[in-house]
Amino acid sequence: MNRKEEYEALLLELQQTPAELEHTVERAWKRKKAAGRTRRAWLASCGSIAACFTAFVLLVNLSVPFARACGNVPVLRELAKAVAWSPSLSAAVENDYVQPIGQTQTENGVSATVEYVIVDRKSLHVFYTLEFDDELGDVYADYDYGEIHGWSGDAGSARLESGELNELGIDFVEQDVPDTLELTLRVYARGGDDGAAPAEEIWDGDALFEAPAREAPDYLAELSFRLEFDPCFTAQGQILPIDAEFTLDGQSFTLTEAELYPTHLRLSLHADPDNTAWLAGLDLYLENEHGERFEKSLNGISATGDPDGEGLGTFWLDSPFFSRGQQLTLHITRAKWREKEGPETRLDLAAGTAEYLPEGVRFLGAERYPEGWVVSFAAPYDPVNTMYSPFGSTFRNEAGTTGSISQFSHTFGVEDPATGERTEEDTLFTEEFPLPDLEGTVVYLEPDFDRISNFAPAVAVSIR
Amino acid sequence: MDYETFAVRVEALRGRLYRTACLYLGSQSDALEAVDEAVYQALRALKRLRQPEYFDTWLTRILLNECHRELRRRRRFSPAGEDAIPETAGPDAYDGLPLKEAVGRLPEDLQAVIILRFFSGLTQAETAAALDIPQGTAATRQRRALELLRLELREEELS
Repeated sequence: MNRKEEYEALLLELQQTPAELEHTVERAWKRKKAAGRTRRAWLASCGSIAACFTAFVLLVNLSVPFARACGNVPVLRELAKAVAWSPSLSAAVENDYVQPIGQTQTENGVSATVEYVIVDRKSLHVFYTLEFDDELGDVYADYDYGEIHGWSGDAGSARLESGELNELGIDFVEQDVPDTLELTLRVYARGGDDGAAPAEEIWDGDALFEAPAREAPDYLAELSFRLEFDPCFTAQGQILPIDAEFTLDGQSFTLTEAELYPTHLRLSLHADPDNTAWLAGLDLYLENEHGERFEKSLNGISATGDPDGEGLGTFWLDSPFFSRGQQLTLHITRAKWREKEGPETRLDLAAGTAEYLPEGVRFLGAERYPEGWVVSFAAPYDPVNTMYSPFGSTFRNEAGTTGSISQFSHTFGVEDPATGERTEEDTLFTEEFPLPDLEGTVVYLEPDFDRISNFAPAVAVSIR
Repeated sequence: MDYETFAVRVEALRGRLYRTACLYLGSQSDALEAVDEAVYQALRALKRLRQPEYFDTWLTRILLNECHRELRRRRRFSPAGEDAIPETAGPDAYDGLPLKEAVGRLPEDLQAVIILRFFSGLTQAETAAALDIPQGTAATRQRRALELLRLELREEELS
């Protein structure tokens, strides 16, 4: 065979394409949708996923009572899996701190059963299963909790597997968990298994400048439950007065109290009004005399603001409620600060320069679009939350006109502009967001922090 | 560009993309993976495509980036050794190799032109645009690559 015959044979060979090639667009579409969901839920960090698997493996393998409980009661094994992401909830299950519910509702071939709740004075976790025909495709549920106030938690559109135990959580910041809750699961399906893009979803390109579009789904079933909580559980929780003063990098604080619940622990800090900086973040953990550690919450709320200022005042951690320890010490390893008189971050988009960036953050560049600008930054991972947003959600131009940033995108590593290769994936992430309708080429952003202090050894404060 | 148009344009192009990736990477599964990744990256960045008339070239460049990324990854795990043919080698060095392998071992710049021009069916102008090089450079590299492969093709014979 000469070269020309070889060429023709090779062309023929290359004409044979694999059948999977036909669905490349559908695969890309599904992946983009999944990435969008991940992006919107970036607060649920990758670290929490790793912690989830680690915690479950460790508990099942190292904790005799836990393993025994899981082995003897098949349903409890499922519950143990469902709470494996949370050391506090795992400890609750291990200690039988679970209220069985066992209510089932069925409509249009979709059946939901609320199996259990784990509840205390400030937090509620509902565990339920959904049974449906696999031919429905991807099945989701929206949640409605009726008339409740002052809560933060899961609002729905989670993708569900038939027969799998799912968890939804609600935290109450000021109010207590109510005696009863009207829970409605609104179930809908998308896509089927034909690989087609779902008709309900509005195609919006990369949607950098538009808010994510979503039409109201056509619900297959609305399944309502009235959940009554056992007062023995909803009464659980205690306040430990502390009043311990300490300083961090020259700023003064008082640890006023700890609220100890079975599902979590809250620490309240009071900042000295004479401090020159607001507290913008803390890395901290609790440790008892047995060396047991209770880390910062990775899912749900991790901190809330100080009502007397712009900094953070309350920090949420895993709970030592079920631990045997008598002593408890707070260890602070890192703090993020925002100077009270600190300047805003100034970007000159035309020149590609930046001033007053948060510590460790790098301005990668800006691109102009008909609808505005898109700016990107490289930032180091946070030890606990992995990815975060270094800026607030508003911007202003030099004339003082303000705008809102409706979405942030995060990706691992930094793209090399010359080769397109992603580098530094282990240490940095890229944040990208649009500045819609920005007039001019200079923009001011509000940094969430200016600088970071690391404490080695950790600053220790005794709690009890 | 809306989703429907994107899907139609990719459908028209996917065979060519696959052939390109297949020659670059040498395996069907790697080629399919590279095409999938390129189409996904294109979908993500679609908003940034300001001139839809250059969609084909743009997507081809994304695919080439993916192929180069995979080749770099392979080199990290298996650095080039005795298999490498020196850039200064003449046609004799390629004579004993099957065409597919010979193409795979051409110098990178010549290989890209050959793959796009003779297997993916791009015109010389499209090849130059996809590689971001002047058309004259594409013509020179094409001539040199054909010499090394001892392959004689007329314009009307091109795929």
